[in-house]
Amino acid sequence: MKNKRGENILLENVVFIVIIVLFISVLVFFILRQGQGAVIIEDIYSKKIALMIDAAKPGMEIELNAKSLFDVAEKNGMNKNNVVSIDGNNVVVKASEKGRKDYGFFNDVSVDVSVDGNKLVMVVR
Amino acid sequence: MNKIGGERVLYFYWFFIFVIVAVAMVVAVGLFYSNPADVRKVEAGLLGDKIVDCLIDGGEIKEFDKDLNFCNLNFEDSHYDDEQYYFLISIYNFDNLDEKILEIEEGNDFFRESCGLDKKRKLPQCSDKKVYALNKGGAVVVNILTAVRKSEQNL
Repeated sequence: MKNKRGENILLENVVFIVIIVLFISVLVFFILRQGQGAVIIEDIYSKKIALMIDAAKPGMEIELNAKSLFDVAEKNGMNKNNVVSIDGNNVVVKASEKGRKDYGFFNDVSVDVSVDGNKLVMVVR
Repeated sequence: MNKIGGERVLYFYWFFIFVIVAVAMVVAVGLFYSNPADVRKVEAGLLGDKIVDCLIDGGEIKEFDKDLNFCNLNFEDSHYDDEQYYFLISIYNFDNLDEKILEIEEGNDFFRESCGLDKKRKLPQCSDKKVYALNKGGAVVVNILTAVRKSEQNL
């Protein structure tokens, strides 16, 4: 009888710990997933690239590791080469078919964008 | 027997605390990621750097037109009807800071008044730079105030 009660207490503790671990895992998964959404990635990369172009001078070549952007875009069925483009003085980032984010730059230069593996190569003219 | 009952009540209490913490974290993360990144302050700083690069070469102020066409600045933005950028360049005599040698202003001049009111995030964000340089042999102080609005894309 005494042993059975001890087993019950142990079982209750184990169940409680398992529930808490599951709970924390779901929470951590949720928090990590939040930062990887197409909308957030598009917003961050369009601004990051626009600021890089603003800081650049004609003749510069900029290489940017855009793995996280390309990963999200490929997951959404996008071709890497069509993810980033320049439209006038706007940087356009499209990581999903329906999504699109653009951000303007004030530096009056023309920029050629190409993709090399996971790197985004921008040549400023 | 009572002790076991007490522990069970404690489990619920702990679980309740975890739920509260989890909900708070979900709400905080949701709020954080629902706002776009605000890069206006950095952008205003870059505009200031660009003007410094454009005006000063090797510590000396270049010969320039007041319209600053050679700086390659394009303030048109297809998202907005009005200009979202502003800059004010003031050049003072180093020996007499009350003597203003030149002032150049471009962009939306309504932004000038909002600089310094950083707590109002909906207002333009500004950057203020002070540079010492030589102008025709004499020392000058160059103040460059820049502002960027673009609130709709950054808030």
